[in-house]
Amino acid sequence: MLVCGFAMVPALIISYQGLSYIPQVLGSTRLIGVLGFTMAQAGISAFIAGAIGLPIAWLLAKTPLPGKRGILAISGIPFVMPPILVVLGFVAFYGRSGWLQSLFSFDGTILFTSTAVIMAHVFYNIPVFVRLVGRAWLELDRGPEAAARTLGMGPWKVFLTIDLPRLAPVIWSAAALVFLYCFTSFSLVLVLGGGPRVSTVEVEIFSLARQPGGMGLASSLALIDMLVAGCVLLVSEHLARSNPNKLGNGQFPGLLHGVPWWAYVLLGSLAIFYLGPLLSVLGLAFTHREGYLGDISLSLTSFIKAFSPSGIRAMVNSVLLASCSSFLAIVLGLQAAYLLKPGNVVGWRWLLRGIFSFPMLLSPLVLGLGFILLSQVLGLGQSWLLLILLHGVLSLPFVLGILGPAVATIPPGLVAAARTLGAPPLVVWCTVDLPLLLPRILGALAFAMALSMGEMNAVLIFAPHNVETLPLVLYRAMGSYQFSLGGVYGVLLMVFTFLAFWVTERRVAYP
Amino acid sequence: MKSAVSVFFTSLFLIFSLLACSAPGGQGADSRGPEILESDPNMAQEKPDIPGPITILTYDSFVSEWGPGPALVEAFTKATGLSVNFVSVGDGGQVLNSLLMSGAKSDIDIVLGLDNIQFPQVLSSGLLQAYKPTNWDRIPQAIQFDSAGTMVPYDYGYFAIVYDSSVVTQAPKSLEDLTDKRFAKELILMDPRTSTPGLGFLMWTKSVYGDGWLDYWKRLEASLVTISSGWSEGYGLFTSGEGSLVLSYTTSPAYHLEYESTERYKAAIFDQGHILQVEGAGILASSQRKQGARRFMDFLLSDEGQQLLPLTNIMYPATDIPLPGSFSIAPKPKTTLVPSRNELSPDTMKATLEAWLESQVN
Repeated sequence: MLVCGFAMVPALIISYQGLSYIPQVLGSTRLIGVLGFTMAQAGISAFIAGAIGLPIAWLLAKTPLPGKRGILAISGIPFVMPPILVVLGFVAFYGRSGWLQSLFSFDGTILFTSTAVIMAHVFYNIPVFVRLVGRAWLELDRGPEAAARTLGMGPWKVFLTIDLPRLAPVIWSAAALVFLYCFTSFSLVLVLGGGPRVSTVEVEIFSLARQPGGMGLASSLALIDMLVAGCVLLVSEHLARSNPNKLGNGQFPGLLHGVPWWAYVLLGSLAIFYLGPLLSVLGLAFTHREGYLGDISLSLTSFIKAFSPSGIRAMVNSVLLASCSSFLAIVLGLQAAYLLKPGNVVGWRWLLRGIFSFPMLLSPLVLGLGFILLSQVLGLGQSWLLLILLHGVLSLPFVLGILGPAVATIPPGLVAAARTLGAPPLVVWCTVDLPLLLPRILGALAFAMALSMGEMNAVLIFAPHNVETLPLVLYRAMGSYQFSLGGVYGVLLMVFTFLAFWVTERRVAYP
Repeated sequence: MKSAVSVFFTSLFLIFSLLACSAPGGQGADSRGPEILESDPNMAQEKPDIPGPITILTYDSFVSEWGPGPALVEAFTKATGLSVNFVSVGDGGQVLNSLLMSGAKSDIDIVLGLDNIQFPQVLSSGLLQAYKPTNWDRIPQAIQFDSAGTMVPYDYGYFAIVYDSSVVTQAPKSLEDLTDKRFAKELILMDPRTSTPGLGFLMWTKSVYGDGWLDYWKRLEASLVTISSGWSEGYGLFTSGEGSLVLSYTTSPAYHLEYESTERYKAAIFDQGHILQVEGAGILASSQRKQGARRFMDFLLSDEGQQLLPLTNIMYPATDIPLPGSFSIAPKPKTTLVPSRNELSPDTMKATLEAWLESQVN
């Protein structure tokens, strides 16, 4: 409860500080423009990601495409992939001196335009569509389709008249989620947008918060940010609930279509779209360039450089921060899950659930801003402890999402039986609940660690001057154009992310 | 869990209604600020330094491995036994922002890397305490910030557009030339809110175009690749080929000659003149390590300290020490532009930056 207060109190302070600046925001043609652009790019990104994600989801649901499980599994990676890693990959691959343009020797500017921002958002969010819609599609009851097919209906017609109406809620709620991700994405826009001309609400909050006298205006933008997030989540929530999705087993081999030719074209180009930037990060890490101009050669120099005292400090910081904050999130998440257990505190459950999910309204950057204001009000410094708390609060809704259902399904009979036999509560918990929950706890722990490890926005805006974390040193290496060094940190982050993701995916299929 | 979303949206509304009630009560947080101790101007009664390294707030490229920071600190520690801790926050514009926002409350002893264009803002903040280091007399009057020594100049240079001569065959000859079609999507600038070269360029356009400066920025738009937040990012983009023109210094070619033995990168000289940048350091009035801080300032202006700067910060030293040979490639501008004090005053500066920002629309 106390810690969730730490999500609500910053939100309150932000609202309090920001409310009086709202007229100033509305009076600035530039900020209105920024708000408009933020909405527009989020809408366009969500549309494109959907337009590409939907056919893939269809392929997964309706064809015997090889590697279906694999595709569905890796489509969960963006949930934990640090955006700064994507940025690095994009610069290395799509930049004017990047791999793509040198390989095909054309000259064009992709980076530092709104196109680059939208491309990166599409990159990030196609998998979200594939995962959310693909899963729902697989589980859709096939009865109506079987009937329609017997009556001679073609795949298009089946899609339009039978599947689409039933999938619409899932599609819209996925679109809402993607819209929200793109609306609040920060580091992608900060680097790929290229300055004040391509700016979004989050980037404005960041730059305002770093200028003398800018806190008020930053707070009012953060308030708008929270309101938009609230509206979008409300819509998405409403849609998800109205989903009349009947579970089927999805195993009607007779209903599968052959894999169409365009599947290979689509998946092939996506493979380039995805592997290009990611392999470029690897390429950066294992090459070295002398000075600004020297030749590029294969080497491990950057690895040696990355393990400098300051690099190691950043890694240790990241691991410590991730461990402490995810431990905190688990402890709190467990308590929250028990509090929310059906049959517990009946009347107040809705309020509790609201409080525990509240951090979802706040983007990491906004929460960071709230913590700055909070520490100013309390007269505290920007300390480590608050940073751990901040990350803990950020991952709490996700941890609760993983643990909640598991706690709710612990058979009450087992617990009661143990109690009757005289076991003290702690022993009961350790011998009955814990073994049942353990896989999920481990999964949630890995997920929370990965989130914290890759999280840069909150750290960037909130962290005390001398705290460096892995994503932050990656960002700084990019800033000073030490791309090889950035590549090494990128590889480290990548390894960690995949590891954590693998653990989560093995333990719990989430989200 | 998802159904909870609607619930906390309702709670958000609750919060708002609470807010609406409490808003006019206000201002409590502000008035309850930290107690400000009257600083004692009498140096004789100054307390001895508290233990710990001298903490210096500065910009990124100063502390980067090829910047002056590491070598300077090594030499300083060797000479005095005192240790130094750098805090870098981006480019020089961000250094000023940090100083103004949290300077007095932090444990920063010295701020390093502010320039003559920012100086009126620094002065009016009253955060620095004047000190004239040994060798003060060897600093030419033309680059002094004030006669009191509120900030001590340690190096200087002239802003210039640097171009890649392997791409640009005909160098730009004026600010107006930069708007030419042949430079479409070639120019890399820096954000005047966070970067001192960025601010210098903004002042350059104001000096040359007067009231028409915003129109110039509109004409310039087609030439821009990006406006980076700091000089290091921008210059890195330039050398890696993302653009063939970059805002930098007349001295930048000396770097490439010295370390890469190439004359490929050149600084364009404009007849309309160039803006002079003097970089300075100052001791914070709130510092609790003033004795150590003063020794650092002495060292910064010593021959040993000054000799380090040209080949690490790629700027002219503040004192009259001999220049490295590679600096002969740096062209000297024929005219130096000096913005008026009024133009640099905090209020005017704020208005200028706001007007500039409003013009930056996608």
